[in-house]
Amino acid sequence: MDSQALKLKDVTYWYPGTEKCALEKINLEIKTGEFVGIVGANGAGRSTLCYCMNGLVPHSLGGKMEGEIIVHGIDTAKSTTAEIAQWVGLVFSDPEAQLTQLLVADEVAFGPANLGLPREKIAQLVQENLKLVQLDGLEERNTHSLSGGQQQRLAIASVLAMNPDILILDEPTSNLDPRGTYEVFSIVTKLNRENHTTVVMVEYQVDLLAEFADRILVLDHGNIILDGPPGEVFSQVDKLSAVGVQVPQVTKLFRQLDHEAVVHVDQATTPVTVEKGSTELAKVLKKTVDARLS
Amino acid sequence: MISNNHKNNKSQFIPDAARTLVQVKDLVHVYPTGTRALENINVSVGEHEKLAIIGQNGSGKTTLVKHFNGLLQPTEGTILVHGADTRKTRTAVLAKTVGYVFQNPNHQLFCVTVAEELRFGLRNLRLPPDEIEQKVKETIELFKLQPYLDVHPYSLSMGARKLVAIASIFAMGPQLMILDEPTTGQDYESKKILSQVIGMMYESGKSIVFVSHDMSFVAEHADRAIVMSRAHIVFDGSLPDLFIRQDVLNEADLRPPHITQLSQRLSDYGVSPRVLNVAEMVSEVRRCLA
Amino acid sequence: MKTTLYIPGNSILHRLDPRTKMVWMVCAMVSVFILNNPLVPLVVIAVLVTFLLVAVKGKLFENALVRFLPIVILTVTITHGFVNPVGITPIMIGTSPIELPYFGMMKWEGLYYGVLLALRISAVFFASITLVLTTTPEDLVSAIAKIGIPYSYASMFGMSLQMIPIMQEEARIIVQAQRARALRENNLKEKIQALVPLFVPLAVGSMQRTETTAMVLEARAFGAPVKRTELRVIKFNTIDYVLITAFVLFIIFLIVLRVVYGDLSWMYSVRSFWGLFWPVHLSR
Ligand SMILES: Nc1ncnc2c1ncn2[C@@H]1O[C@H](COP(=O)(O)OP(=O)(O)OP(=O)(O)O)[C@@H](O)[C@H]1O
Ligand SMILES: Nc1ncnc2c1ncn2[C@@H]1O[C@H](COP(=O)(O)OP(=O)(O)OP(=O)(O)O)[C@@H](O)[C@H]1O
Ligand SMILES: [Mg+2]
Ligand SMILES: [Mg+2]
Repeated sequence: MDSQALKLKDVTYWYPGTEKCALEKINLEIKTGEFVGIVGANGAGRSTLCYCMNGLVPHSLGGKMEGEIIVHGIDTAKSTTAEIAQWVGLVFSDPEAQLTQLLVADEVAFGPANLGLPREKIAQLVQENLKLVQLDGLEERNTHSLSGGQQQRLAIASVLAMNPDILILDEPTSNLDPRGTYEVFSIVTKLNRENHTTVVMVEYQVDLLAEFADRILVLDHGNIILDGPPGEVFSQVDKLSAVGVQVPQVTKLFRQLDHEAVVHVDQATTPVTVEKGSTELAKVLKKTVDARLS
Repeated sequence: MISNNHKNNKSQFIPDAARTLVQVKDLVHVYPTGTRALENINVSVGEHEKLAIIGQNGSGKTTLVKHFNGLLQPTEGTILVHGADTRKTRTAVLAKTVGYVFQNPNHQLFCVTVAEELRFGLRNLRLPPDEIEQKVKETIELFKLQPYLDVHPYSLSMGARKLVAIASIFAMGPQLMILDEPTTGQDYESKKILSQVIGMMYESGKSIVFVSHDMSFVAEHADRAIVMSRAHIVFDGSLPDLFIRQDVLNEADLRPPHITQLSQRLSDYGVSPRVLNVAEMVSEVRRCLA
Repeated sequence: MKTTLYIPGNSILHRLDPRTKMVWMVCAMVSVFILNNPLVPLVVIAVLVTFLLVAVKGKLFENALVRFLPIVILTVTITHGFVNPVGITPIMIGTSPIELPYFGMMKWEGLYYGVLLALRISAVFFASITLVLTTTPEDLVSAIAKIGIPYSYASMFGMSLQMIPIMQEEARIIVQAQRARALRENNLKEKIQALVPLFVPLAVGSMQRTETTAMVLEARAFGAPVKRTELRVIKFNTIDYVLITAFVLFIIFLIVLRVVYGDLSWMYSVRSFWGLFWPVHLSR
C-alpha cells in the first residue's frame, strides 16, 4: 500500500438545509502511521471532518459536498461507508447513542462479525478487547445498564476489535476517569507504533495530545488554521486563545514565566509536556540552588 | 516521590458548613440487576460548599448524586435534605432545593425550543410571568445562549446541549446544584462560562456539587473532594491533600493535573507539591528563584 | 432497567429452536381460522399458556401487552355483540333485552362471533409472545436470517422489537427529568398535562436515534460486501421435530374435520352464556 492513508482535496461541505458550510476548502494529507490530534472550539467542524474520513459525508448525512476525498486508496464518493469501514474505524462522540446491541459481548462481536471473521477468532477478540478497556466480567450485562464511562469504554473496544488500519476517535475520553483516559492514549499509541495504525483523534485533553500525538490540526469555523508538531502548534498561545482552544498547562506556565520575565523561553521551543517542562525547569532551578551553595 | 517538605501545609480541612444541606446515612444502593453500586456511604454536604465527587468509571458517583433529589431511592439507609427524608418527599418538591443536571443531556431536555426549556422549571415553581422572563433573560446572558433561543435543543451539539441543561437548572435558583460531568464536550469558552456560573452561585451562598473526571477543572473549582472507588468513599478532604496521596490516587484511578505533576517532579528543588493551577506554579517558581 | 421483552429462563420453550416457535406461531394462526368453532382457539390457548406458565411463571402477567389483552377481548366481544349484522336473536335478561341507545340490542349470534374472534386474537397473541418472551433478541434475529430473510431486514425487525422497551425506559427517564425540574402531578389534570411534554421528546428522540443508529451500523461495516459471520448456532433437536409434527398433525386433523363435517359452527343455536363455548343443545 502507498504511504498515504488519507487525502482531502478542496473539500467544502454543507449540511442539508444550511447555507453556511461546515467545512471550507479543506486540503489535508495524512500519512500511514501518523498520529494526528484535532482540536478546535465547539462547532468548529471537528466531527464533520471525522465523518468525511469514512464516507458518512456525504452518503449518510446528505447535504452538498465539493472536492475529493481518498481514504485507504478509495474515492469515498464512489464507495459506501460500510465498505470503507472494513479498514477505517470510527468511535463516535456520544457514548450511549453508538451502542447497537443488547449485551456487552455482542456489541464487541458485532463489527468483527460484519467483517466475516471466523467465530472462534471473534470470541477471542471480544475477550481481548473487553479486557483491554477493563470491562471483562461484564460480558452478559445489558449495555443500557452501564455507567457513562463504561459505555464509552465499550464503544472504544467495539471499534478496536475490528482492527482498523485507520482509527478515528471523536472525543473518545470525554467520560473516562483520568487513568482510563491515559490508557486510551497509551493503547492507540501502541497500535500506532507497533501496527502502524493511522490515528486521528479529536480531543479536548490537550495536555495528553501534546504528549502523544505527532501532529496537531487546529480547526476554526471549518478551516484548518494551524497544522504542525505539538510543540510548534501549542506554543502559539495567543492564536489558540483567540479561536477558543485551550493550551497545555505546561505550555501556559512557560509562556507566563517568559511574559513575567522569570524564566526566558523561546516561543518555538516552549515545552508542551510535563517531561520536557520538568527537565527545563530543573535546569533553571538547579542553577539557583548551585549558586546559593557556592 | 511524596516528599515531606510541604511548607504551605494548610490547617486541617474544615468544610464551611454552618448548616447541613444534605446528609447521607448508611446508604446502600443495589440496582435491580443485582449490581451493588453503593456500600455503606456516610457523607454530608454543607451550605456554601464547592464539592467535587471524583473517582473511577463505575464507582457509583452518578448513583450517589441521584439520591440527593430522590431520583433514586436508597436500598438501605436514609438521605435527609434540609432535614426532610427523600423517601417521604417527592422529587418535584426537592427540586426547589436541589437541582440536578444529568450526565447525559439527552436525558434532560424535552421542550421544543431552548427558550421553553429555560421556562419549564420556572413555570413549575409558579413564579409570576414577568419574574420568569426576567430570570430567563439573565440566564441567557450568563450562558451566552442568544443565538440558540428558538432552535430545538436536539439540533444542538452535545456540548451546547449540556450548557442548556445546566442553564435550565440554574434558572430555577436551587440551594444546591449538582452537575454530573459538566465539562464533557465543553470548549475553552464554555468552560469559562461554567467557572463563572459556579463562582456566582458560590458567592451568593449556595452550594455546588460536581462529578468530574477533569482534574484541572476540579483543582480550579473545588474546595473539597470526595473520592469514590468500587462503591465506597475512600477519601474526603482538600485537593492539595489528595494529590499527594499516591495510595488514594492509585486506588481510584486518578492522576493529578499536569501542573501538579510538574510541581511534584520538582519537589527536590524546593517546589511545593501542592500546586493546583498555573498561577500558583508561577509564584512557586518565582519564590524558588528568589 | 429493562430494555427487552425477553424473560430469561431455561424451560423447554427457552431451549426450543426459535424457528420451531415460529412454526408454532404460523400453525396457531392458521389452525384457529379453519373451523368457526371456539373450541379450537380455546385448546390452542390452553396449550400455549400452559407452556408459557411453565417457562416464565407469574412474570407472564407483568408483561404490559398481556395486561392489555382483557381490554381487547372485552371490547371485541361487546362491540360484535351489539353491531355485528349476523345478530338476529336478542339476549334477554328475564323479559328485557340488553339495549344501548344508538347501538341497539345485543344479539346471541353477534356475541358468538365476537367471542370467536376474541379467542382467535388471543391465540395468535399468545403464539406470538411465546416467541418474543422466550427467545433472546439476538437468537430471534439469527433465526429470521436463517429462514432466508436478508440479515439487514432481520436485524431491523429485532431493533423495532427492542424499541418498545427502550421507549418505555426513555419515557421513565424523561418523567424523572421533569420531576427534577419541579413538575407537579398532584391531580389527574396535572398528570395529563405532564403527558404533553413527554410525547414530543419521545418522538424526536426516537427519530434521531434511528438516524444515528443507521450511521453507527454502517461505520461498523454492517452491510459490507463480505459474508457476515453467524454468531449463534441454532439447530433443531428431537423435541423440535416432535412439537412441529404435533402441530402439523393438529392442522391436518382440523382440515379433515372441515372437509367432512363443515365449519362446525353453532352460531345460530346459542341461547346461553355457556352455549357460547360448548354446543349445549347438541349434547342434550
Ligand atoms: N446535522 C447537522 N445539520 C446541520 N448543521 C449541522 C449538523 N451537524 C453539525 N452541524 C453544524 O456544522 C458545524 C460543525 O459541526 P461539528 O459537529 O463538526 O462541530 P464539532 O467541532 O464536532 O463541535 P461539537 O462536537 O462541539 O459539536 C456546526 O456549526 C454545526 O452547528
Ligand atoms: N441502571 C442501572 N442498572 C444496573 N446497573 C447500573 C445502572 N446504572 C449504573 N449501574 C452500575 O452501577 C455501578 C455504578 O454506576 P454509576 O453510573 O453510579 O458510576 P459512575 O461512578 O457515575 O461512573 P462514570 O464515571 O462512568 O459515570 C456501575 O457498575 C454500573 O455498571
Ligand atoms: Mg463533535
Ligand atoms: Mg456517572
